[in-house]
Amino acid sequence: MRDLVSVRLKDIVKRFGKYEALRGITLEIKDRDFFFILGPSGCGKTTLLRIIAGLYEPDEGEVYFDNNLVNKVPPHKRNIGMVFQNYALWPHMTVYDNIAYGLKARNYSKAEIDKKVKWSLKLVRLEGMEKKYPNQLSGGQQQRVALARALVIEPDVLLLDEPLSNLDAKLRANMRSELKFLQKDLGITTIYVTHDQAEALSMADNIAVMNIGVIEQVGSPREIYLKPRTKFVADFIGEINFLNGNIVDRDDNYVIIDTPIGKLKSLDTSVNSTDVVIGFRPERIKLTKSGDIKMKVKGIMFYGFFEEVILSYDDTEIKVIQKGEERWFDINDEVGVEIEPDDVIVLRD
Amino acid sequence: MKNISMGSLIVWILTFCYLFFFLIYPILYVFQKTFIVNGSFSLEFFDIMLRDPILKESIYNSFFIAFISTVLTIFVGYIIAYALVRYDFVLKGLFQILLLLPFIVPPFVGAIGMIKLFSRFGSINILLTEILGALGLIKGPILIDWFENKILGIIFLEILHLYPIAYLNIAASISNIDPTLEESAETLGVTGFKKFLTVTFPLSLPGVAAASAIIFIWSFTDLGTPLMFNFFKVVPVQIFNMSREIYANPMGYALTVLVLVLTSIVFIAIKRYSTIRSYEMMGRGHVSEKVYKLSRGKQVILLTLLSIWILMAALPHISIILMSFSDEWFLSIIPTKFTLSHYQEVFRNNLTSSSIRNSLFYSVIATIIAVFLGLTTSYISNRGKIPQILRDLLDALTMWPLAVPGIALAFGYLSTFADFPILSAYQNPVLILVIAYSTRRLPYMARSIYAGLQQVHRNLEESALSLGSTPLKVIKDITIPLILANISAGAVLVFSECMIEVSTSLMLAQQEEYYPITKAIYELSTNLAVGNELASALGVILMIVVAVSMVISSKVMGQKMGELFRA
Repeated sequence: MRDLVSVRLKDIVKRFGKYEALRGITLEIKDRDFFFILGPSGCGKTTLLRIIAGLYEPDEGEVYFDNNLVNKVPPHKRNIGMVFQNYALWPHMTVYDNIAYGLKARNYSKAEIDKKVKWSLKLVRLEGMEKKYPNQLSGGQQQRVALARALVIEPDVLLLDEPLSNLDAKLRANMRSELKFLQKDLGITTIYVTHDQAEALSMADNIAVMNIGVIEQVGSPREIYLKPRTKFVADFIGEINFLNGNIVDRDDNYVIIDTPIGKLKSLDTSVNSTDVVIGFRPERIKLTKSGDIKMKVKGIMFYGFFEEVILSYDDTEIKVIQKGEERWFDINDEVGVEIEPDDVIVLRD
Repeated sequence: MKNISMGSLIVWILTFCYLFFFLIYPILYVFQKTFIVNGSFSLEFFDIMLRDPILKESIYNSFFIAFISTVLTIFVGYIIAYALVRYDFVLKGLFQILLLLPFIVPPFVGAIGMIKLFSRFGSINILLTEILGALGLIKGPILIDWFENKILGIIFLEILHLYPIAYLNIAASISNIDPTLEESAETLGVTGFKKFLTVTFPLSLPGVAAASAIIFIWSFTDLGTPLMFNFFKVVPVQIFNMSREIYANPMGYALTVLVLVLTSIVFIAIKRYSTIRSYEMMGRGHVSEKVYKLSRGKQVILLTLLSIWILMAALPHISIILMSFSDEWFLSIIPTKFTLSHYQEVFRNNLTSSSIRNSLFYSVIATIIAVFLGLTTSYISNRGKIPQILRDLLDALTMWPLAVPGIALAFGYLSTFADFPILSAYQNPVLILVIAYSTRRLPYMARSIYAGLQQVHRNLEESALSLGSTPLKVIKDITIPLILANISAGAVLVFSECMIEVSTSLMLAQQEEYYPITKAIYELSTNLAVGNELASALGVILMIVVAVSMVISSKVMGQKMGELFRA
């Protein structure tokens, strides 16, 4: 197996005119990692990817492939494979020529090119499509050609810019698992940019969550979801209830927070200030017939395999998600609310 | 952004220097010759120009011709545009093509035939005599010399040649009007001609303004037509005559400056105007264009009028075709004897056969230069990695030839490079002719390519870069193949425009062996006994070449062809 490449970014700043698109990005992406950059549109994630590709030069900071500084290395010398959001297949070339292009640029022999193109087509399950032109293919097929074209050159790093966003929902779901298996099979360090949290959570080894030019948190999908470190991350990934609160008691192992709906206990002792925001996931709430915290059922929405319950107390509302079949209350009933201390996330206000 | 590529910068510098040397420098030279007398600034020559009675009259005549031509051409063009945009009638598609007929032949070539048709003993008078005589309305022959007033003759020919420019610009403007704007006028009870005057017409003014500018400048600076009428008291012919005495007479420079200043004023004014009056149309695309079906009776009237107009516009073409085949044509509507001998003579005669070779050679080389320049300038100004201001500067320079009339450019080249070794038209005009042709048509080429580049998504090039292809190879493998249609359409158009290029041809080609077709036609029409017939045959050949090129070009370009002729 060939050498694998890690990618390191140090204090990357990128400006467009006066606008600072990236405000000091530091990241370390280990070799073989399936690394996701997740963020809302306009957060700078594509800009960051293009800097890694060499299509933009950063205004400040350093990009390393392994230990080599590549700031001044033009894209065609970086040995990267990139899949663009719009696939960027050349309409004047056949599928075969599209895929063979990078190999030709590397001066492979005809026989080698043929072998590798065949291999990559098999990899993306498009055998027999060599002679077709891109406009004769479906969206999903075009996506695979773009992937094959990027993979065939055996890149050090594979860069994917929202590769699935132009596919319909069903195809997208299939491609997720396929891509994940492919990445693990080939073991290529892969950086994947997306705004789709489901994509990131389900496929990634590690995720960097971005917000307007900065990285908010890096971690495994589980860490990002269960232990968000900022309000933005908690809010952006999955659904969450936020409540303002004051820490009224603390210990080495827990804190007690006073909130508008009552006192909650948390195991999260990392925040030192008194004024805090707490967050808890809707599916982590248990509704009981007794309990200290009482709230009124304001609305119920049935979605099939789950059910959303809106509870209120004074002006405060929280959302609860539970399985559809086990409801024992109705609108305007009063129910008890229980949240495990481990599920209460304490965030700085 | 600090992404500056050395390659882009070098190409920018080279193209900029080329365009500076062949576009700005000659203009500066002409200005300097006009205003610097004995080493200091002086308006002396301008003063002399404005006091010289012949020059004064020439300037007056040129303004008169340009003004009347513009008003009448716009009037005709507006009616045609309105009819074609708003009404649906049979054979509309055919008319849309036939209306572009004037583009395939320069007006001065048609003038040869027109002068014959409209002369005292010409076909028109004979035809009228026979018709009106048969109806018993007149006795005896009609012997009007229609073009006795040469100015009116020139204006007539300018209108017949220029109305498509008015029609295309105005039609674009009218079809850009949001139909709901007219509908809201109707709901308020304003209909018919009043609605047209208060809503439609004002909203179509940007097209009218653009067309007026082009037509005014064109008819002011047209050299060929007045030459054919032997009418010398207009500015272009004066400049033409003075090009023979560039050392002795400073008036040529002063007149050229006048033309350049006038052109600039007109174009700047139009630019200002169209920025002020560019109406943002809301909701375009939701409602389809308003096209009315005409009743049968009205269709007949409209078709008749359009047919008469197209027949008139085709008269120059028809007349030179007839003349090119005529063996005997005297006191009859059409020739009484036909022959192919003029065509044989075209290929046998030294002057004509070499002119065809010359024209083909010049045009091919000029097209190659234009393609090359067009590619580099539009690539750099569209996606060169250099500061925006440099890109804008190059773009402006590339489009500038649109605002430099051929007569001014030709005079500039002739005088500026008179003593340059290989650029002097007096020694050998080949190189400077080719440069003049390509520079003049560069905007067409650049526009065509620029439009193509805008449609090529950057990702297509970036993906090739990411796969290890060098930037130059990406241009060759990806960019150029993807804009090939635009390049070839532009090239064919440039080629045909070079073939019918008049002003620079007439002025720069000084020695007979180097004459291109247009100059040969002019020479024949003045010199030989059967010159007109031979000139017509040559004109017809030119017409066919251009027509074929236009068809190819429009096939490749599709709908966008018309846009190239708009301001």
